[in-house]
Amino acid sequence: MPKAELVPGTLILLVLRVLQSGPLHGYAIAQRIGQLSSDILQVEEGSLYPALQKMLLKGWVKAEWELSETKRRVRSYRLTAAGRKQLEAELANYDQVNRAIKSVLKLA
Amino acid sequence: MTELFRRLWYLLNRRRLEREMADEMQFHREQLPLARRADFGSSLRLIEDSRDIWGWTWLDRLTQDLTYGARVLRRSPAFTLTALLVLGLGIGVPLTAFRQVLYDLQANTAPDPATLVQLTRRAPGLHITVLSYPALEFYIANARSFREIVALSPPHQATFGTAAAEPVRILFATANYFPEFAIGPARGRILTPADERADSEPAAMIAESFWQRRLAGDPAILGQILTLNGKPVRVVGIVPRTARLTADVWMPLSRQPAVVEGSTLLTDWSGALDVYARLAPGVSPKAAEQETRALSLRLHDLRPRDVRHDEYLEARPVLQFDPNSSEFQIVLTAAVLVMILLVAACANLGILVLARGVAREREIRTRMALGAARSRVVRQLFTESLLLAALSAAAALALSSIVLKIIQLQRDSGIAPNLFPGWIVLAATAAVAVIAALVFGLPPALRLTSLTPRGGRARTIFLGAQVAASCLLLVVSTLLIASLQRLRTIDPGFDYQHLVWISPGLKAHGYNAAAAQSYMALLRTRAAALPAVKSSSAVWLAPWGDSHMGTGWSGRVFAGNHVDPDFVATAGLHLLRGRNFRPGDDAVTILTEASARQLFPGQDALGKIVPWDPHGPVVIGIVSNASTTAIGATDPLEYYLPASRADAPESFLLLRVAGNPRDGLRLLQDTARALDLRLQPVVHSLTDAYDRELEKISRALAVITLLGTVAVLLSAIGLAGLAGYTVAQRTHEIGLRMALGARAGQIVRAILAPMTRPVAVGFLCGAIGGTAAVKILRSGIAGISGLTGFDPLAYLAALVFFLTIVALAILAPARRAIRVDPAKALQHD
Repeated sequence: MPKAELVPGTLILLVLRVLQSGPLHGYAIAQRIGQLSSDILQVEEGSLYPALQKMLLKGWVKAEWELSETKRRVRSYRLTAAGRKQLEAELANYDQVNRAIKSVLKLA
Repeated sequence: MTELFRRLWYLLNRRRLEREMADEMQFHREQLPLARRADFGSSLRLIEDSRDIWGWTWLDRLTQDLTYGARVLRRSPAFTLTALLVLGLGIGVPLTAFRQVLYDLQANTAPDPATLVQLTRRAPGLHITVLSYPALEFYIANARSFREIVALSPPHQATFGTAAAEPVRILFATANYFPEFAIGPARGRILTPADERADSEPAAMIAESFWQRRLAGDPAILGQILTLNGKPVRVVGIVPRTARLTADVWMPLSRQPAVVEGSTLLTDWSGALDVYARLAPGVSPKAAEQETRALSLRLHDLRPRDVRHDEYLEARPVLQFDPNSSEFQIVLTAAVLVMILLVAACANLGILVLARGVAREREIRTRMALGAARSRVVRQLFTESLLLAALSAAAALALSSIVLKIIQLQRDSGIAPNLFPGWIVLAATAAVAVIAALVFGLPPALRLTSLTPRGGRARTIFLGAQVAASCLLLVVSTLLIASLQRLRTIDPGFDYQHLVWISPGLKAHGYNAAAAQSYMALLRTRAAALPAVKSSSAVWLAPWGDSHMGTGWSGRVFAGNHVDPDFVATAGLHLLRGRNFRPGDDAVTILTEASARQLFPGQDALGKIVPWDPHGPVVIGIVSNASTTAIGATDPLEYYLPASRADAPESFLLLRVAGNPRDGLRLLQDTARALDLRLQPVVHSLTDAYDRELEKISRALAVITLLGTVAVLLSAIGLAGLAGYTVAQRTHEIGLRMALGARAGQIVRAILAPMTRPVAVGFLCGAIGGTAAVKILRSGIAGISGLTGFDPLAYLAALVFFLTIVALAILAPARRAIRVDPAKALQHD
């Protein structure tokens, strides 16, 4: 199965999107993105954690310590109201860019 | 805003948050299949990246740099102490000057100074700085341009107590003086309009210093009765100490007759009150003057003899930065000079930092080779400079506080400028420190991290600027000192050392012209009977006294006085041409030679009418130049008019005495008082006035000498430091040269060669700039234009002295250079 690099700038969008359905910890976020993309998109840990910090700083997510299924303390991230708003904005933006790219590819 | 809050929260909880992040990543890593664990990357690196995101990296770096800088400074105490000395002085001297000026300004500030004006009588050819009480009342009642009119009497000499009466100074003021000049009571209350009513009990405020000195700070003094001039006065408040309040007691102006027996102040049209006014909202000084023109005309109709038809009151804002005023120019010049000192200090320190940096080149190169970015190293070096500047600024603050304390003790005024710097001072100091660090720290940091070898002109520029600034300061201070020294020996043109004047203060006690004249005649007879008194003369204004009469003509001010026929002989003037006054003379004048030359250039002044008044007096005599009105004028523009009967109540008696004039002061005072026990006569010797003036000059001399000394000291430190570093750095090379047979002279030349040009250029700039600066000073500042010109001898002396210092500073390290032992030097390294 070929692995694809994330398109730059989409990591935050993807993280926001997977958190929409409920709080997850860092590892689970990476896992979920991988699963949902049939393992095509692979999240680099080296960019995931700085991205999460940035989202914390912006107030899009909140971090809480919980116990995982394996009874380990994990920090899970929960989407905030500001995060939801940001997700909508990024989605709209992404759609627009996507459409634009597609039309260029079609017509060129 | 919330983002900022989150950032701060992160900073405060940083340790915990970073630990948590590490835990979190550890968990993540454990979940990964073994093969992928290596992909995770370094947790430390990730934590650092996240720190970057929260934006606190700069703080870490700053802490790091500060720690490192502090260690570097601690490790080289000689450099650090020298730098502290240089920059501490460089910042401290301007800072002290700034704080002193700031303090003087604040001490003289009335609230809303823009609307506060001084009112003086003006008409063509007339400028009288005082108003009479009846005129004051008229303007208060009629002028619409002023919201308040404030009047102050000149300080009145009175006695305090009953048994052994002591002299005190009473200032009589309208009650609105206190609110308009923002003088609040330290205790009790201020004087109010109710205290001004003629049927009220006489009330007074006393000065805090008087209260503590004479009344032992008795807290129960409020409401008590003091005896002033033998009259009971109730104390209602205490005036706090400030610089400008010098009287002992304040009383309502309208109640002056209550303590001055026989006073005619309230009805006398020739009274002398200083008058200030608050402009009504929206009224300009010019508009106010227009109104007073019309009012003065009405006053002229009432009192044609006392008020001229073309008179008006000039309204001049009291706190106006008049760029033409000599005070402003002196302050400006002083500011420029101390700023040059700061420049010299910065350039100096720049050289030292650069020279030392060259010795640290290896360290810097190593760090850069290990991957430190240039900006990172520059930031580190600059932080070191900033630390140095901050320490120097702290030292400068301490220094300025000490100097201000000394000045305060010297002045003995008992008034303390705030020794703890206010926020303005702190902000200014911080700003200067940062600018200084930028000037002396940044160019060396850039130079040292630059990869182009031996490029850059930082050292040349620093060296040149430093030498030029120091040399300029030395030249300016030497020339000023030479001029001031000469001022000390200026001949006032008459023998002042045996002159004494008595001011009986007749007018305050209601003497009319006839009574005053007979009193003065009697006093002269009594005085003449004293063995020490040789001759006497009645004059209207005391020589070198506080009051002056002047007339402006073609841009110069001619100082005048009313004198009797005995004045020329008593004062010790020489009649050169024409004749002296005779009793009964009118409409005649005697001029000093300088006045005659100025008013009638190339003509014979005798028989001519003074040009400023077509109906004015005719010149009947010319006397030798003498500066009897002000001390220190080299070109005394004076004229004398015959004293009239009307002058008598305000007259002074000028006496020529044998022996030490100070010996007979008490006897003369008693003699004057014996004729009328109500009087509080004041007696002064001219020698005392002269000494006071000399003291002022000496103080100015001390300040300027200090400035010059600091400049030379800075220069010596900088040059010696640079030469020393150069020698230390090139020991190896020197050894090599010696081993190859170079002679001492050649070595010294080789080492000094790069310094020669900047030093020579700087020296020339300083030498020429110094003369230019003094020329500007002399042409620009009326106050010191009397200082006679350029003194070539002093100038040469300054230059030679400077060169000597430069040579000494450079040669000491050079001596060390030629003593280098080649064998050892070559082993080294």
